[in-house]
Amino acid sequence: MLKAIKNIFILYPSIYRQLFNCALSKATTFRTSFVLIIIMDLIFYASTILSVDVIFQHVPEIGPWNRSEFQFFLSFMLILDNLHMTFLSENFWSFSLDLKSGALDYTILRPVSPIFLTFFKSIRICTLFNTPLVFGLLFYFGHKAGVQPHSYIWLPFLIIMGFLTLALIEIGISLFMFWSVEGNGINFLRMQFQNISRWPDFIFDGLARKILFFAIPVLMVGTPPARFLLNKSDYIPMVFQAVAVPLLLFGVKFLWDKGLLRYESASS
Amino acid sequence: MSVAISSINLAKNFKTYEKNPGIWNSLKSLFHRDYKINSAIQDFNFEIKKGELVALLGPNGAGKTTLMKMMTGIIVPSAGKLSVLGFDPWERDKEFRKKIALVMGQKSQLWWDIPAMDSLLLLQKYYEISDMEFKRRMDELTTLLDVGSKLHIHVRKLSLGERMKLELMACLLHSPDIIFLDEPTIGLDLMAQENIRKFLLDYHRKHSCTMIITSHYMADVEALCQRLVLVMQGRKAFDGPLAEFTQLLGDTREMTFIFDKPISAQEKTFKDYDAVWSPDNQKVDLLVPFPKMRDLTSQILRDFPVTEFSTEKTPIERAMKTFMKNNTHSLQNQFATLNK
Amino acid sequence: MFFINVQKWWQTIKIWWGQQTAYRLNFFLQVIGPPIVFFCVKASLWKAIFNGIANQKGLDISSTVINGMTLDQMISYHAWAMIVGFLSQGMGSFDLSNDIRLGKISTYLIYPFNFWEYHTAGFLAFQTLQIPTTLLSLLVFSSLKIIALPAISNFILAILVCFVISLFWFSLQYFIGLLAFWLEETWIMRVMINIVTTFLSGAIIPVSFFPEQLQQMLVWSPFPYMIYWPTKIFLGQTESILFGVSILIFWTLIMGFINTTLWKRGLRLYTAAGM
Repeated sequence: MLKAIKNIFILYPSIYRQLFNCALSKATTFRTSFVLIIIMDLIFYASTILSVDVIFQHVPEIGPWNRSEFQFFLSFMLILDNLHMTFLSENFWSFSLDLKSGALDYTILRPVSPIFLTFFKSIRICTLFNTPLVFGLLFYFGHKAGVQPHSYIWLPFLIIMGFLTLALIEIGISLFMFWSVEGNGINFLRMQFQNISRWPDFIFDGLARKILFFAIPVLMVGTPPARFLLNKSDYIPMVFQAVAVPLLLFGVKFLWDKGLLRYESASS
Repeated sequence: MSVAISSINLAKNFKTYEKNPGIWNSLKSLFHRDYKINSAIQDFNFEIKKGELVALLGPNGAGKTTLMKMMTGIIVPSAGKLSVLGFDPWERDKEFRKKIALVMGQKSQLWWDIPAMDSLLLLQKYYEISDMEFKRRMDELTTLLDVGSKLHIHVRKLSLGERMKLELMACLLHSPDIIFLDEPTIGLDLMAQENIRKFLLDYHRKHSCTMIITSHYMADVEALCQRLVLVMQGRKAFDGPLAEFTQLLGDTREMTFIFDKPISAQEKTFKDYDAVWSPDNQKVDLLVPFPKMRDLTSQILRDFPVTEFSTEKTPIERAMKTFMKNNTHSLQNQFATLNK
Repeated sequence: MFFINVQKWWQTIKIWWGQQTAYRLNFFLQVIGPPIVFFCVKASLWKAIFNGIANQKGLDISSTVINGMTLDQMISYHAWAMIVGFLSQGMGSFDLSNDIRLGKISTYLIYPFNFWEYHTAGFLAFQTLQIPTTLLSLLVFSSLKIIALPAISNFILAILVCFVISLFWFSLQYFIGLLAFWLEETWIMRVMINIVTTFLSGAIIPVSFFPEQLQQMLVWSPFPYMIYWPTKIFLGQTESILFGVSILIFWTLIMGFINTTLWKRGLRLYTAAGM
């Protein structure tokens, strides 16, 4: 027990600090990519906000939300997207490569949690430059939507919950690469679910909504926090999310153990 | 306990399937695949004591890497028992992982796009090595391997030999009890190979760790190993001291004769001695049993225009080739009878 | 001579087929899955929007109109957009950039078969692979009454137009691939161009919804002609065919010219550096 606490507060942070250094070293080697990725993200943010903006030039509401509220939700999702891009996304692609090449061998051998190493090893430093912007967007639209400043006390917690939900779902989907011959297709599947998570839950109805909220809970990523921030009494979805996260954690560990059993590393 | 590794009836099977070319076969494989079971390792029994330096040899596909991966816990055996340092490798206990190291000549563990030093600092964190201990190990290994100037260069810019030295350094930082080396000298030039061998010998002498090496290069085997385990078709074909192996073919010597004109390879004199001719047919290497040496030498000197000749103990490479040739057939027969 | 050349092309196309279908799940997840998911998300979105308006105004859903389109028309639009996407936005030249990065183009400098020929064969191979997907989509959509099959002449016209678009799209992808001579990671450019194209071509929202000034600016760009305009042809609105095709051909030629220049420059870099 003591060892676990020591790990969480001392060992893993020190490992992560060094991983950050490695990422910094790598980022300063590929300077063109550094700049291009920042621009790519900016184009993505613009496209997301503008698309919805164009729709709102023709309708006053989508579901229960007006333009500012919807943009507020989108900004929250863009924050999660930014964090995802920084801390997670590169690892999904290198996981598929490592599986194919057998480089996963080294990861398994280290006296460190292999799930942690596999999915959090690579950090994209450049997207951190866009983080102030997405927070700015959130506060801007939040202000227009009438979100009270004191509500933002909840923000760190909500962001962590949203990010954890998204991360665990995507890691879970990625683990199916253990069973597929060519891993990259699973990456595209994962990205489709990520796309779906960028829309609020009321877009979908009936069976689709139930599946996407309870079975593969992508709709549980951004909607509960945004709804809570816009209206404190709308906290039920957050309760669902709070229950979902530990369940997802359990599911991921289960899939990982089963997947590793199946892992026959590429022959010499 | 003085036993580092022991295995009883160890076995590993893999599933593979065949795919034939052509559109029709591709479409067929969309719906149905014919799976085959491939036995990579069967009935493997051996024991390695602490501090031993052992070579795992065998042809490609014999199962050496599979064995090594089972011993490190990367793949799980299909049957049998395997114990490494008292652990079941498959459990991958954290303490177990801190005691072993693996170097694969064909796969790099260092991050490609950044200087090696960054990767080494990361490993320090993984293995929870104190700063003082880390500095001490770094100094020792940097000097032994002579890589001081290479630590801050991007790994992808280094030559294969330099990279290999850094790989070795990376795997030794945490002072492992057992070191597994999978083809550590593959692709290196002669100079680099010698350097690596010398380093491994020195390190082993100083630290008395257990080392298991797989290699295709006989020079590696001769230089490094006291004991040879030969793996053929997933089974143990030989297990003993190196000297014993070369004795296996009886006391034979390699004799080389050089002639001043081409000699026909069909000459009866040379037929029973595993003759290997040079392209211009003016030089021949023979494997001759010791008792026959004198008579054969006189005969050849008398009947052929010899300009030079020499004798050597059978090089292990030759012995290996002959052994494998002789035994593949008998091993195949053995398997055939077993599988009936 | 010509016959031998055709044989080379045919053999290359067969190899591309083998490669592109080697990983069956992959093919589905990477090529077919995403457009289907995209369609479902858009359909859901617009249903929610139209339902909202209908409820608010107390109207029946079939008489609710937003910017001149009913819900059925909007869904029909997106269904055709998906089919146009299958037909024209191929992933034919798989990882051209990888070939450059890994030095595989050396082989094509020696073969009596050019690098561009190899990848154009890939493009053709891919186009044919999309035919079953397209037919299946047509079948499913028309039986679900989501789309109405147009008159034969319109249909053939639209197919031909889609082929012209696919040529432009291929030249654009080729351009991104060639950037590998200078860029370590070309996927970034690909994603950027994809995002811009998806937005400006009317794949998310019909171009007619854009502000007037933007629509005016886009008339001379290739974007609206990639999804919005061919979709309208499938829907039976066939004005300005000649203009649209001319714009596409114009931009394809521009890309062709850029690509040829880039190839020459890049090759010089490649052979000089011994990459």
